[in-house]
Amino acid sequence: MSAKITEIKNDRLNEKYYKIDHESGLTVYVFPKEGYKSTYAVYGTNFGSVNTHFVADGKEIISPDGIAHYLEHKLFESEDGDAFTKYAKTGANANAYTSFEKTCYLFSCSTKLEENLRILLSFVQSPYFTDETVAKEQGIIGQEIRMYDDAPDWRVMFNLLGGMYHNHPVKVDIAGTVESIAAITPAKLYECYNSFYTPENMALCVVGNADVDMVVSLVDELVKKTESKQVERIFPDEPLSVATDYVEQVLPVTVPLFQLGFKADGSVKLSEKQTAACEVMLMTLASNYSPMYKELMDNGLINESFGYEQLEGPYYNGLLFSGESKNPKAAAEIIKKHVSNALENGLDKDDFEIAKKAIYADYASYLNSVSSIGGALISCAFTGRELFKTIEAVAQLEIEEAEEMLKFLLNPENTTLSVIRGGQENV
Amino acid sequence: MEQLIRRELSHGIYLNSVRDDRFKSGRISVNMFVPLKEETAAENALLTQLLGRSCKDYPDYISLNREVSRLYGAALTAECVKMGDFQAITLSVSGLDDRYTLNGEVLSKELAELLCKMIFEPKLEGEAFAGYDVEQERRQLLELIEAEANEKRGYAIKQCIRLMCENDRFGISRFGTYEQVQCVTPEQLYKAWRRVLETAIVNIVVVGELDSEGIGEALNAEFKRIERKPVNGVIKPYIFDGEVKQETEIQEVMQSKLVLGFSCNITAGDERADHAKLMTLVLGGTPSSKLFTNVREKESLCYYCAASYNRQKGIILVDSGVEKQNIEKAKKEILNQLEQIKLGNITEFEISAAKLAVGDSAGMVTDSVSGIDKFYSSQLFEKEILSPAQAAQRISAVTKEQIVEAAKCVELAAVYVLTDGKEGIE
Repeated sequence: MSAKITEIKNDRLNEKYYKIDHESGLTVYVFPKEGYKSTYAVYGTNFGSVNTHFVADGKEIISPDGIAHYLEHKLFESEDGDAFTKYAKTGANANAYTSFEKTCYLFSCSTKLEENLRILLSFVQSPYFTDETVAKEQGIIGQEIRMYDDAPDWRVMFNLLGGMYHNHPVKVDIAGTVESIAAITPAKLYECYNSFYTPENMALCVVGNADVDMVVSLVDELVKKTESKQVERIFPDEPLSVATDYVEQVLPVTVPLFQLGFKADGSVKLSEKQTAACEVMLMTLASNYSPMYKELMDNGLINESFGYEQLEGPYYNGLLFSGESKNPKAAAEIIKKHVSNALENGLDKDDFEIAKKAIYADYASYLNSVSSIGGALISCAFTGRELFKTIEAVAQLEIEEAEEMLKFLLNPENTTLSVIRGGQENV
Repeated sequence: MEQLIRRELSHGIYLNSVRDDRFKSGRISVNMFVPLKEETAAENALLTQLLGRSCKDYPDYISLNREVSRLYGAALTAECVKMGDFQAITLSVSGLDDRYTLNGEVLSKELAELLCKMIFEPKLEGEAFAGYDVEQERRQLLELIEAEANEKRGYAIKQCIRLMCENDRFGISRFGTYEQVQCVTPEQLYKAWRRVLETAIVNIVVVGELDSEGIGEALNAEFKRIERKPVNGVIKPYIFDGEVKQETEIQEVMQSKLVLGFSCNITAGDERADHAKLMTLVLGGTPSSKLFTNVREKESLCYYCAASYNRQKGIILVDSGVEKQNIEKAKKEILNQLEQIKLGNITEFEISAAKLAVGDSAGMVTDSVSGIDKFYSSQLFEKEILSPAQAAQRISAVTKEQIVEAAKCVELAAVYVLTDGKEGIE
């Protein structure tokens, strides 16, 4: 087979990687790291927990919640044994994860790269689901779900998403529920597999002690060109406004946890520059030297666990602030006050310059780690953004661009506060 | 490249450096080890928080955070962890390598100087820390102690260690107790600071393309101005008294946690420590281990069931999250799997899978700044410090008989269960 290989360079950080558009339709990234012994490889599909409703070759399909994650677990078993047993013969450290919009299979190793890549590319392309193997997983995944039911930091986020979104499936737990996964059958798994595990919908990233030619020839050999499928992902209509402005749950926690979510327009796909602007804006606004942080801290309303992040994916976009607080409502009011203030008066110029350098250094440090690079590249593969463009955008960012993102993403009138509290205080 | 160079700068102060130009950032850590004691644990923990939050030149967290962020968002961390019978007070800074600054700034020197200020020039009011600062940090440390109970897997493990080590220093929390933290005064904290500087065993760890000698000497010069009498760095092995401790704690949890604590009487320095390490991996350290393949895959009892070996204390822990009605079944199966190893029922595949996993991860450790720091820092109390490759090589030489012999030293010492209070307790 043939492949188009593009070299992508960044002189400032003295790094380069290769993007390969393979004839099979698969996108391949190879990022060699000079002097590194180890390699991280990730093979992923643009299919995650939010893709339960789709039309494949004209047929409308609605799958049970949690099916992408279930499929991830089950793909480790092929007819000729499970992938962990195969990796056990090479020593690679293998794993997989499912997020809202993708499912990824990965390994890291410092020897036998070719053998490991063969295992990875082969087992992901060899589904084998029977009634018996599918039933066996109910107990294991059931316990995984239970574990998350007890994790307040997980619950506070899904409660928040449940409060922010009316219809969008991002509000549904990635693993589904014990009830929803009971409806999963081999036929349903094959339905999803055949629709989304096609080369056009997948990417392979290999980072570290790796050679482009070796990777490309392995892909030539092992990646099967499948019949092209027409798959349309369906998302329900989602109003711009939040579903509710407050949600709470009682769990055995001693310090209440909170997340304050700002809901933004999810229909706009952000460019590299906008992503960079968003990161720098957030740090300027809420970093640990900002006036917002100072007021929260001086009033004893947050501790070091305070944080913030952007939650962005197909048809959803928002920002969330999270922390532990004895008084989450008071904390939320202060956050909103500082957001309003920034909307009115703009961002602080000095703080912006500091944040810009800090985010740039963060990106530079990501490039130390083969797994961080691998994670960033597989995300780029599915968002259509390019890693070095984002880094350059940070280095050259102007304050006005950050302020534009502030206006786009943060509306203090459109928020949800999610709280997990211990319950003792009202008993 | 990843080889550690270690030398004693002065009595009880060691410089450990790994020079490496592959990274875009570097890291300097100062680890100060003091004995873990009931009466000082809380003071040391609160002191760590204070040292990490401000110093004379940057007297509040905002000015300090701003300065650190100005230095290309460097990360300054102050951490208090437990290592065997010691409490480690660690201040570290990691930041962008000078070669990659946007305008040619030289950050490394400023970062090293800042770290020195944090340790030797805290913000003081006479012979005490400032009352307002102490209260802020006390609140945060108390919340940190409370938050530890929110994460159930880690919480259950800590509870099992506490139960198992009632009569061993290792059972003391790295933060002291809630009540102790409430009582610490600004004056006590000043004394604790002096005591740490005067008595700690100090390990400086420098990783990256940095002038480690210059950094080490600068820190050493500060320590030289103090009259020092470093403590003796010996960790006592855990001794099992023969009585299996049992505890069931009730909380409103959806999933029960089961943690089994074992004594194995084999500690670092003992040539059998590698045998115990490999035995633990065969039991529950990889997806090919006995616990993963039997308790999880075959019996479908849990999502995780893992074993870990603390070679400083000679303790093995097995932890799992299970349905309440399966607690006994899981416990039986875990003990059965250990018994199988004692009986020699181990396959070549299980052994080679564990060895390969260790060998392969040795290569990965050396490709990250924090991986290198963590790997070497875990050995600071050992007579001989090994590189990841050397450590893996020793593991690969362990035989099946040695694994069986190591397993025979393992005795159940504690059973801790966290479960809900519904329908009685099994």
